[in-house]
Amino acid sequence: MNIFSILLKNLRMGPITLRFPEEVPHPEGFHGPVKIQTEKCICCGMCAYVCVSGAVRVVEHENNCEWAYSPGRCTFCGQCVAICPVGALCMEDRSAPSYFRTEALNEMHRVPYPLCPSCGHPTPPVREAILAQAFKEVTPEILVRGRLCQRCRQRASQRGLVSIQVKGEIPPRQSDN
Amino acid sequence: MNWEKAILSLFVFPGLLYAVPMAWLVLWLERKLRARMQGRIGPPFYQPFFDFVKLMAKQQVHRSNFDSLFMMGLPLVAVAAGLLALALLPISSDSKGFAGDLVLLVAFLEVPSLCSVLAGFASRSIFGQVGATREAILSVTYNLPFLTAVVALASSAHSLRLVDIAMAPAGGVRFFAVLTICLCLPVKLRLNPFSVSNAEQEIYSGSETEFSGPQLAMWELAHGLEWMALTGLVVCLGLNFRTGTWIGDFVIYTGFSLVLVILLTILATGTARLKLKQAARFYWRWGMGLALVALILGVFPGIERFIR
Repeated sequence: MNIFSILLKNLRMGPITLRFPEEVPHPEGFHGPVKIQTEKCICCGMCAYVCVSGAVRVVEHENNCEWAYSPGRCTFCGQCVAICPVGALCMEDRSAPSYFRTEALNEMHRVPYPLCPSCGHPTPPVREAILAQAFKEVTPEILVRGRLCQRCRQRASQRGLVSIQVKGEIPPRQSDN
Repeated sequence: MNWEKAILSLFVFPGLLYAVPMAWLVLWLERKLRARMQGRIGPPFYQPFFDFVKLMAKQQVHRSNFDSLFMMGLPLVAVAAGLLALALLPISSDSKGFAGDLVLLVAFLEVPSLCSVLAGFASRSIFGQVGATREAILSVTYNLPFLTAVVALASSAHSLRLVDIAMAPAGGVRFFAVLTICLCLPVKLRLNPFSVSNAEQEIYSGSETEFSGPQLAMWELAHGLEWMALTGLVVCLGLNFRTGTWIGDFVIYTGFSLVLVILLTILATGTARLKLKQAARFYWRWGMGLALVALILGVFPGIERFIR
């Protein structure tokens, strides 16, 4: 007769089902919607490259970069978060919200390009985190070089080569590659 | 039984107008109570009605003429049999019935089960056929004690008229016979622990597996009417008094029917499905034992007098 006492207990306790929009607490490391920290993003587009469902798109413009995300398409696989070299992406520990129209959840963030200190042209940001991965030690010179646009950076490199040829001086090695 | 009263019983109370909403209410009560006992919320009270409307609006699967005739005809026959069985129940004190209405009621109560067996084979689905076979075997097992109990009641009241049986003085025969009929209710309604003929985890829904749309809606309705008719039968035969007023009889009939529904639901929720062999053994041993006691007491009334 144990089963009937269990049934009676259930009847007295009421339903354990949570009514929408209530949710059970999500476990640690739950794969929820992807969130971006624009101040960390370097607009490399790796997240869009690995996204199997095409939920993440990165579109480059002249003076900014557009990071678009549609949770309606997302499979919450977490590949974009894993591949991001600067840790700009993370997954929220909540379920994707319900919606009537798929587009209602779409998100779009703009990552503004900083201006090149040399020529004033907008250039994709290079953060210290990515420089730290490329170089053993991030010196002030590397930081300055990183802020330059591609063209100015090439010129600076050319100038460095010319100085070696003309003066015969070999500047101390900065990088490990 | 005059014609006006017969038509009123068939179409108003306890027939169509009363039985169909009550059938939906009973189906809801069963689902809701089961859900609550399992810690779920369960459907709102209008859900069976919405299910019915939605199923009725669905497109039918195209079949050959002969097949579609069977597929549509059988659930309709089951619904009609349910309504006719309800119309025969001696609910109010002024219902007279007619000689032999007991036999007709027993026949009508068996029609939905028969239709279910035929539908299972007509649907040409392997699940339907397995369900139909199980239903047919169960029908043989539970009808033996069920019919014996009915015969015991009839022989003790010396009448085949339902109202005579219902109004007969209470005694051992009535007690054992009604208990046997109660024992047969779960299997007749295909409820746990005797739900082997529509075992949803094994053979989907047995003979109704291939049915959809309006045909399935009719099966659902037939099932609800079966609930009403069988619980009504137990209430009508179990209580040998009538209040004398229409409203009093109505309240008693409805109230006791709902109590039976609740008890059957508790039994169905608290038990697991038995095998066909176990179910057959149970009915032939316990059901038949009780029915035989009722029959012996009914045929030899001296025994009961001697015991007292």
